[in-house]
Amino acid sequence: MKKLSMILSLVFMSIMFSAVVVMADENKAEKATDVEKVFPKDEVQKLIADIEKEEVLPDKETGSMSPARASGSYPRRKGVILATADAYKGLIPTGHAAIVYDPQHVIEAVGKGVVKGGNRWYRTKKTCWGVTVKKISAKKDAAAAEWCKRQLGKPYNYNYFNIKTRAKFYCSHLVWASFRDKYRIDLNTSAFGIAIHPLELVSTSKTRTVYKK
Amino acid sequence: MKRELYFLPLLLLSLSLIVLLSACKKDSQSTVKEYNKPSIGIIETKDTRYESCIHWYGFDGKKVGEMQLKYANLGSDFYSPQKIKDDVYLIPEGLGNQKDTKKVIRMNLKSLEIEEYPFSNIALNHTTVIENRIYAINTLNNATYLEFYDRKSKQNKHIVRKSSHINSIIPIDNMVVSFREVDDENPEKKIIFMEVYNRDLKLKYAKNITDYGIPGEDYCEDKNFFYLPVAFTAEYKNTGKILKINKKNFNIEEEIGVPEIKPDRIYIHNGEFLITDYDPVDGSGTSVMRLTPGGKKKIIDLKTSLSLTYIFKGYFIVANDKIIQIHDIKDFKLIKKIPLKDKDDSYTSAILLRNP
Repeated sequence: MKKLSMILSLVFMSIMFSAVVVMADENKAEKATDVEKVFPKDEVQKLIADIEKEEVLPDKETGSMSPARASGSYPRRKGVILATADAYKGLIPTGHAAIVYDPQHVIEAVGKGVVKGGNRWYRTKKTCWGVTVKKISAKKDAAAAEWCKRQLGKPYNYNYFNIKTRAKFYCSHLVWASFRDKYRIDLNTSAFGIAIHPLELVSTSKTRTVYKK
Repeated sequence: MKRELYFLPLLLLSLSLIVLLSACKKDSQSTVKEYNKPSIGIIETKDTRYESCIHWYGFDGKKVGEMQLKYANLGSDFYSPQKIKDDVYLIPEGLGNQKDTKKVIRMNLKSLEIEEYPFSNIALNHTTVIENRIYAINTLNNATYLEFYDRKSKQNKHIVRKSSHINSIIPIDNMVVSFREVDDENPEKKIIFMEVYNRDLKLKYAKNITDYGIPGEDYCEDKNFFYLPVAFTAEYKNTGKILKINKKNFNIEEEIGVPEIKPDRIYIHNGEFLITDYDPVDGSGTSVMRLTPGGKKKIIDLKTSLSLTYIFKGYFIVANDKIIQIHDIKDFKLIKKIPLKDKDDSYTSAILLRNP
């Protein structure tokens, strides 16, 4: 009888544990739903369809540290914006953005905040666009990347509509803010209201595509 | 009694599930475990999901097993995993938009068992091992955390290097040698330090090596020296050279010029250097340079991207997202081509080798 009670207790504990796990998953799903309300799936898909038509154009002349590259080469010039349409779990469910800091590193806002990481998107991402802001020089692009570097360590901004803050950032918010604050160039578009989806950095008429995978 | 009866089916169901899951786990590993010849393991990993798979192939090209793992971005073509006897150490970086996995893992290539070691920070980018201590680095807040986990005491210890980025750490004679970049006032130029720590992370030696360029993430060693490939100057201009460094006093004894290539991985085989010509940033480069002690060079084009390379006995093994190529190391003659399945949202990140 004692054994049976022990087994029953174990089963009960397993069921309770499963219930807790299910509830935790539901909470996560709720968070994800909120993000999907900000960036509705069908609108993101439409955006992807639009930017897939983008023509790849030559990059800017540099003459500085980043060696000249053949047209359409993977970006390694400081200040080139990287964006992907890959589908992630959590945070922004479709898409991510970063800015090239030097040929081997990027600056990006990830789950724990703004970090410097390897420029490894060529291998790790299924889709990738490299874009450059029109009407400003490569030197100014580099200065925007420096601005992003100064934000290292700031936390992740989970309020996708709060783009005024400079105390925390989400990925596309960080890249957008660098050009907005330095040069008054607004890379946001009318899609998704005030929130900035990573792929808007590609779709905006203020950038041109220099690399596409 | 009625309540007991009510729980009985649930109990049976739970037990069946446990048995089923164990059986599945065993099945995925047992085939390669039972394979008693050397096999090549290719890690295929994802940036967007906690999913990786090791595909095991015999040298005849036949698949001999696979092993599913719940890690995202496991391994990288930027560095070779450190192998000590039958153990291999890898970083699962986590999802590409979160870099959230704070672990280094050890896989025993005989038993295929995995042990995880906890670290304090996310975005780990390089690891090395000295005896029972596992070291890893990451960069947060424009500071690099160099941390170790001691397997015996199960304790962590870290130091912080502010305003800098450590690209790689390597083990040389029970010391941790790191290569740290500091941004100059002129952001177009880096200042590079080689720094040597003892096992307890006390700094023992530091040298400004800016004039020599930015070392890559690979190295090789012989009795008295270790060798570092350098592909870029501190201003990110292309250069190709190998630094020969004395293990006793860390003096840079020689710069061996290899301007014909972008040196990435370096091996010593039968007294000669084998250096791959590969750029991990854009995946370009298909050649290997053979360099004799007398300075004679020969470049051999293997006609496939050298994302991952491995030397095993008389074989030079190459892998990328599309293919595994096995070459005879004597003359680089192609022995076997093993085409890999097309990948949708994953990439190959490491070569492992099992030799039962």
